[in-house]
Amino acid sequence: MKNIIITFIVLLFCGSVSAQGINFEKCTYEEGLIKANNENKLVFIDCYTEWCGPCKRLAKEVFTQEKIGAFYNTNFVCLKMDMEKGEGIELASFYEVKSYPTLLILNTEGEVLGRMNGRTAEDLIDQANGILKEK
Amino acid sequence: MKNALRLFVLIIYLYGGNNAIAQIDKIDSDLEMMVEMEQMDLVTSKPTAMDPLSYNAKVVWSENKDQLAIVLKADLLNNWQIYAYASDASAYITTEIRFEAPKGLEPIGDWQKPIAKPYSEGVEIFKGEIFFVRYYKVVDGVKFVKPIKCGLYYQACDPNQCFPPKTKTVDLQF
Repeated sequence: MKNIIITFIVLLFCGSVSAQGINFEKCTYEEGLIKANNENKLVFIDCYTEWCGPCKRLAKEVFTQEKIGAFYNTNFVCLKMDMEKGEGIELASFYEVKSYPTLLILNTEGEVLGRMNGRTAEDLIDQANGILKEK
Repeated sequence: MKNALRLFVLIIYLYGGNNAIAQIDKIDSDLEMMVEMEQMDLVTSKPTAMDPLSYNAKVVWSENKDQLAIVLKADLLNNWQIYAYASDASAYITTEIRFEAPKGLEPIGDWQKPIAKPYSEGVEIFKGEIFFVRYYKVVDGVKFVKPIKCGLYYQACDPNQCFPPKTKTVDLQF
């Protein structure tokens, strides 16, 4: 009986985790690359700014969806960068980010494997899948 | 009788006063027609995916040179928009006209703007080819030597992305 309860709690916990959207790491760009290397993943960066409406819509309505969370959290270390603040300013210049949002997929050396643009979770999963296949 | 005379004087005064105001505020109808024609002739470069708003501006004078109009034109790439109004709660930036009238120009009314379309809560947009016009009365004897900058500050977005806000300016020759 005890085991059943523990199993139930674990399942419940796992369920709540998988019900989350994309898990954006609270770390620097460098730390993100190292973490991706250690976990054998690629890096996904959501390049946003405060005045960008489509960025806010993605953050609120798309990145929070379970299906995109499951896919991106499995394959990427996910970072979110305000490109007008802190290290975002340098990254915007280095990666030539001209419009927002720009969604980048990088390898662990920081090289761009793909730039994405999309409005739905399905779009972003399909595009990321294509980049993973070409890796 | 005395009261009737006072009333008569008051009516004449009010009529005269209103008439004077109406004269100051009245835009030359020929100038309005010229502005409409000049709008059609105002050329802008072709907007592109990298620069989705092209911009130009010009001065249109009335025939007797006592009034003029500043005409701004913005041409937006299909599917792109700028913001007529964006509340503080939204993540967009309201379009602003950057023009400081030189001494000797007195505005007749406010800027005439295109009709905005509702976009989302607290946000209205402009799309396509749009014009902004403002009329001015020219003070007698004023000469404008230097060109004056006239700019449009805006944020251009399509449904998927936004470019950083920027200002485009044109030097207006008077």
